[in-house]
Amino acid sequence: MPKGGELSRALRSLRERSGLSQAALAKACGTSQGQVSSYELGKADPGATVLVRMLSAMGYDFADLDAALREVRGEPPRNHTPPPGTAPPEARDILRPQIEDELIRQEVDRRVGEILGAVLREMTPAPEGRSKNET
Amino acid sequence: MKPSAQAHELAVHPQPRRVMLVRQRRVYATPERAESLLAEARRHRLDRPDRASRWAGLAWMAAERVGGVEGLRLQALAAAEDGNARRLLGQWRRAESLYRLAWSRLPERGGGEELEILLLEASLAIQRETWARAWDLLHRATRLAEARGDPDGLFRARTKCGLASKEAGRYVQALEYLRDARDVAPTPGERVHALHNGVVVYADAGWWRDGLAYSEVLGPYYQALGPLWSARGDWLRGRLAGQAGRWELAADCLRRARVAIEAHCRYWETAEVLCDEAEASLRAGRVEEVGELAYIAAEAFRAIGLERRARRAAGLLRVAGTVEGARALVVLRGMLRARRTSAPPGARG
Repeated sequence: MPKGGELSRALRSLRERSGLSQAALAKACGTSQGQVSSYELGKADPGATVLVRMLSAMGYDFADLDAALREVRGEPPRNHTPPPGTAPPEARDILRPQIEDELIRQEVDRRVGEILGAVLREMTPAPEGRSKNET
Repeated sequence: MKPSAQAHELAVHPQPRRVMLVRQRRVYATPERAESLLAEARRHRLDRPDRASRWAGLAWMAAERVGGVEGLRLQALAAAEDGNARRLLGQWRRAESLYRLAWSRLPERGGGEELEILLLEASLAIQRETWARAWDLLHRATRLAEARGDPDGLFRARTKCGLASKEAGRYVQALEYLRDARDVAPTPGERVHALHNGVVVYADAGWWRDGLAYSEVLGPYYQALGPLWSARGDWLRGRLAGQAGRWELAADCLRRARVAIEAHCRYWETAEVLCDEAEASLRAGRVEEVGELAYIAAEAFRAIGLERRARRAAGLLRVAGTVEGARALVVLRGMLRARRTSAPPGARG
């Protein structure tokens, strides 16, 4: 059984997604707007019959309520399937660190090159008759 | 003229001069000549298997005349190279008999020649999907490269293991092998090569979302390797964009890749990328381009003896429904013969 706070937040989320106002929902399921508000604030428990009517009025079922509750709890959806074209985590864990490593290596090489270049320029004597700043 | 000078001349002179030199039998009996012919065969390995086969045949003849252990070593390499070319041409039985010949001529075990034959023969086993044989050869190649302390051989063996796993549909295993290959890669370029192969695995597996992101990141490194590799990066990005359904982007990437690869006179790759571009153009609604692209691809595949691939291109051509129109266009623009007219190497004798 979900905790009161979770259920109220899930109900509010579903109602907002359905685009119904509290008053419209109350009218559709034969209750008052104040009552709907108290369900959404966790002040009252809707009970099974009212819950079914509310879900039905919003165009949802218990699977949607379950998904909304998981969302409220921060849990991944049931039977979560990654979006198409996504690599499984074990494949990502192999290639991504290599690419990151390559980025670091190349960046280090570039910076070392810049420093060496600067040092070499410092060490190279300026042509006769010209000061360093002229170059 | 000294043998080494002859070999040098063979390597630097353009095709007709090379053919003339090959026909001069008096220069056959030198290891340098055989090595040079073998180098020509390798140069064409992944581009013109028809030519690679001819050069390997000439190398074999030269090696026969060299004689001794050196001659046997060169014969083994030439037979294996010809076997690889025949494999690419789809002549698998001939390839098998050439590999048997290569093994029979190998003068000693444990050398670089053995590693070369193992890796080439493994490619045939992978193509034929005889996995037990392929893995046996690949494990032997890996052990040999490790025993020899040969980083380049080990890189090639592990890369080939990765590609074998990919062909078998074991994508995660393929990535593991390619990671191992990168770990032993002797040069920064080969490290990027290994990463590129990793993204190719992503493309083959249909993981375009991650693959596209990685190919974007790798873009500057491709550029550092030169225009041909940059084009290969574009090609891969085009394939991934196509999988994502972004056909306009795919067609643009593939066009860029094709133009750059064409400029390098890469027959096979040009034909492959043309096919991909034709498909992307078709899906992007640029139907008027499809016929010409597919027609040139089919002709290029036929020119190098790859009939099965030519049929894929011909299929696209039929879809475009512009066979005659495309042919007329190509003839008018003179695209085929003007661009690639280098004559095939001379006859064996």
